[in-house]
Amino acid sequence: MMTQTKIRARYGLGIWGLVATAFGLVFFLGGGAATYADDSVRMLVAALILAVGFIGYFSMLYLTREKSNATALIRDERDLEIARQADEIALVAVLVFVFVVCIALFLGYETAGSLPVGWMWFLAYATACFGLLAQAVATLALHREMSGNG
Amino acid sequence: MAKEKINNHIRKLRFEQGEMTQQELGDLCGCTRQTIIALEQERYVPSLILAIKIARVFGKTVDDVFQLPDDGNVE
Repeated sequence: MMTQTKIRARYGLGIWGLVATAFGLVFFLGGGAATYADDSVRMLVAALILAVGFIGYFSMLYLTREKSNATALIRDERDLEIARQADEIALVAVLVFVFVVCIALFLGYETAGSLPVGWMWFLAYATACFGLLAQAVATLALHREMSGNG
Repeated sequence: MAKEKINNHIRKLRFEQGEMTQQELGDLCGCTRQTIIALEQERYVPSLILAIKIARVFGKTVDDVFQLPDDGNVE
């Protein structure tokens, strides 16, 4: 049986992988950043995708909670240590992600003097997805490193 | 900084205690079976509290169960 942190990481990876893919399709296939802020349909769809992602994620956290009548232990100090290290890795990964996106946008639009506001929406949505994905991936990687088959 | 590692005799002690299962040891120590597996494979360094609990289950001292890899060089 898997422990709680590993189950949550697997579901989290699936949920945020789907959300990131769906958001990427909506953002880039409909005209990209240049038209995003003026396209209320795409903005609404993207907001719904993120909302569904968060509802699904928090529902998953609720469903995988430690139940009061549970007979078996579902997490212990190793899981808490893995979660702590995964949070640290995810934080650094998010900082690097934001830095790289900002620098890329600066370089891409340096000569233009301004950039489409749609990129700010992209940065906000993508950072949320990336942070949660990074946390899930780091958790699974640490589980692999710190365990035999669990 | 080198990754921390600690050697242990948990597997040997489990079998000396009537082939105690990993799940039974985990239940007695308040940790999961996966943590016992990780400890036996020396892929996880336990907290002092868990180390003491494991040693108590076997009726040994922490030193009897866990050793630093370079114990021979420690003064």
